[in-house]
Amino acid sequence: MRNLTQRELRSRYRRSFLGWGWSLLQPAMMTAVYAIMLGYYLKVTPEPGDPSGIDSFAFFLLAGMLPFNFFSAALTTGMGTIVNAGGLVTRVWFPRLVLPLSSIIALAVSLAIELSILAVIVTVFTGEFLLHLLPVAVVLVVLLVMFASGIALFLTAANVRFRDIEYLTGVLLLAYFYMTPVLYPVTFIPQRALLFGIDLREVALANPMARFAMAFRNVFYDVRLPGLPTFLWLVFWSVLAFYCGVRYFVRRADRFAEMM
Amino acid sequence: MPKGDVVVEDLWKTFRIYQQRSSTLKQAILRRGNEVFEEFWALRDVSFEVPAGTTLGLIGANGAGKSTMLKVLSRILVPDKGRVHMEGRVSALLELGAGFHPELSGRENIFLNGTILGMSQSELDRRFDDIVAFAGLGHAIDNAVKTYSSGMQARLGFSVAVAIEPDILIVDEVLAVGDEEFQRRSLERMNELRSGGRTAIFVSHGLAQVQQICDSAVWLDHGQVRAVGRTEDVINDYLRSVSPLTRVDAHGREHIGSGEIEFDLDVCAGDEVVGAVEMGAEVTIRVRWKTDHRLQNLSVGFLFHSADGHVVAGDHLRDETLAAIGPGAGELEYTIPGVQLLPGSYHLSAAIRDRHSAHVYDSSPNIASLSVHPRGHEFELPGYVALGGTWSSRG
Repeated sequence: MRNLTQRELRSRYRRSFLGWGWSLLQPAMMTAVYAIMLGYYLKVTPEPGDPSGIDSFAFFLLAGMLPFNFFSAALTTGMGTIVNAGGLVTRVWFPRLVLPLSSIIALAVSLAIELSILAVIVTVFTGEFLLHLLPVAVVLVVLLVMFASGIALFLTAANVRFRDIEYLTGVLLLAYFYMTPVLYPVTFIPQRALLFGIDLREVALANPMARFAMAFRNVFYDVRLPGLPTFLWLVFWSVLAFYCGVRYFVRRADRFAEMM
Repeated sequence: MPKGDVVVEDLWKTFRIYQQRSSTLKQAILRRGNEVFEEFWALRDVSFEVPAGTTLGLIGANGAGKSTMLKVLSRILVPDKGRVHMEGRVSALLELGAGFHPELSGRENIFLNGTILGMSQSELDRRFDDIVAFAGLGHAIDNAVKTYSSGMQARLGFSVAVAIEPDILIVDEVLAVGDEEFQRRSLERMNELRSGGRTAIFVSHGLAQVQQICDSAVWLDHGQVRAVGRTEDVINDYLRSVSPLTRVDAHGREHIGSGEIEFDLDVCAGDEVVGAVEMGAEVTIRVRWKTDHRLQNLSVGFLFHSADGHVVAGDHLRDETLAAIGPGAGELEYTIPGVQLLPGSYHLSAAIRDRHSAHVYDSSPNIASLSVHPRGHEFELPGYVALGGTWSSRG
């Protein structure tokens, strides 16, 4: 497992000139683009961090976007692992879980590094010291990894059977990204915004990824503990998704070699 | 159950052959789940046992289910019915170099491959030098695997797989790849594992190899066990069904003939069976036969073949010596007063026929071999036979 994770990390960046730098460049670039587009042109102005008083759209964005980027990368790369490792699966027996999980853990390591850098930058620019929230951040990352793994494992197993799930997921993830309050605060969704009688604000608040974005913002933007309801909601979804995902994957894993 | 035991009980495995397969969600929705397929039983009620420390060979025609069987044994496929019970660590070598990552170095791939095959980190650290030495890669070990030749990849794969020291080793034809030197070393390593009390299960089309390595054999035919037991018996049952006139004897040598009589041939010097003689030595070719029938008018013949495939010399029985024989056993000797073959290696083919109809009762294309060593400077002579002449000059 450790070897596979290392292989994933090494081979991902070996061939690129900037190496590890790429993994940081991408979110930095996207933040710059969104900050100009949304913060400057469209005037999306979230409330300043409470109680930190941080008033920077870039930090607001990063705190929500890094976890979401992890989630979407976990789904898209995790999903390809079994199908792309075709030869390995049909020739060698090993616990199939290792493949998607090691790629997700490699991504989680990247996320941890990105979040640490964000914490350092926040500290340097605002004087807010985040270290006391480290345990909370670790718990949040673990919950996010569980949640993303669960869904990724489900999709990975399904993708072996139906190869177009990969493309479908790409499209749905894009829609999901914009519907989840990542680029904007949840308060931007009007109260009682009804679509076919469904309250969109309620839907947004029930959405686990929205809650993750909010919780990470609580830590890295507001610099405080996430609320208990949010936390419990995340625990509930993470455990449920992880349990169901692993169960489904393991049940289907026996047949992978045949379906390739 | 002792470590290394393998028990296969009532194993069934089916594959679905799809005429119409919905491999995408879109198709599945459009067809509303209407898939057309045929069930195909790749394995039907297969049972056998391999006691710890023995080697089993799986033989059969292409598509008989051998590879499916190995895949079920190595847990890549899951059987529909029945069960496989294996005690101890299993290592399967279905294809060399499966799971190598081209961008990583040989060193990194050893760790990766070893991990996938189930070795622990400390074990890998301990065995690393052995693996590199066996693969014979030297400094190339730090280059990316994509720069390796296929032979180098094969060597690396085999080295990792046998380094695991499994209790049960499963091997599929892989010994057929690589150069001769590598094949020899892999076979040696297989024999080492075997004498170390490891169990092995082995698929090969090389029946002589199976005969050499395996204690017992299973013959699969259309997914069913046709014969199981002693290697020689199973191979002969198999050969008789494929080509009714072929069999393999106790030394793995192929025989062709209707089989009413069976013979063996030895090259002897005095009473001793020899494989090498000096030029000019007296040798006896001894043919031992046994038969359950009463046979008449037999002719016995043999040929010496050179290493490059030419018939060099030969003789056959023309008279009434074997006018009527059997049932029973007997011997026939042919004495060569002084071998006039030039130094080199030769092999013998032989046949017992009916003298009139040329009907072949038993024959073997390669029944014995003989190396001839020089006595003096004969190796300087051209051809295959010493003329034994002398030069004289006049004038």
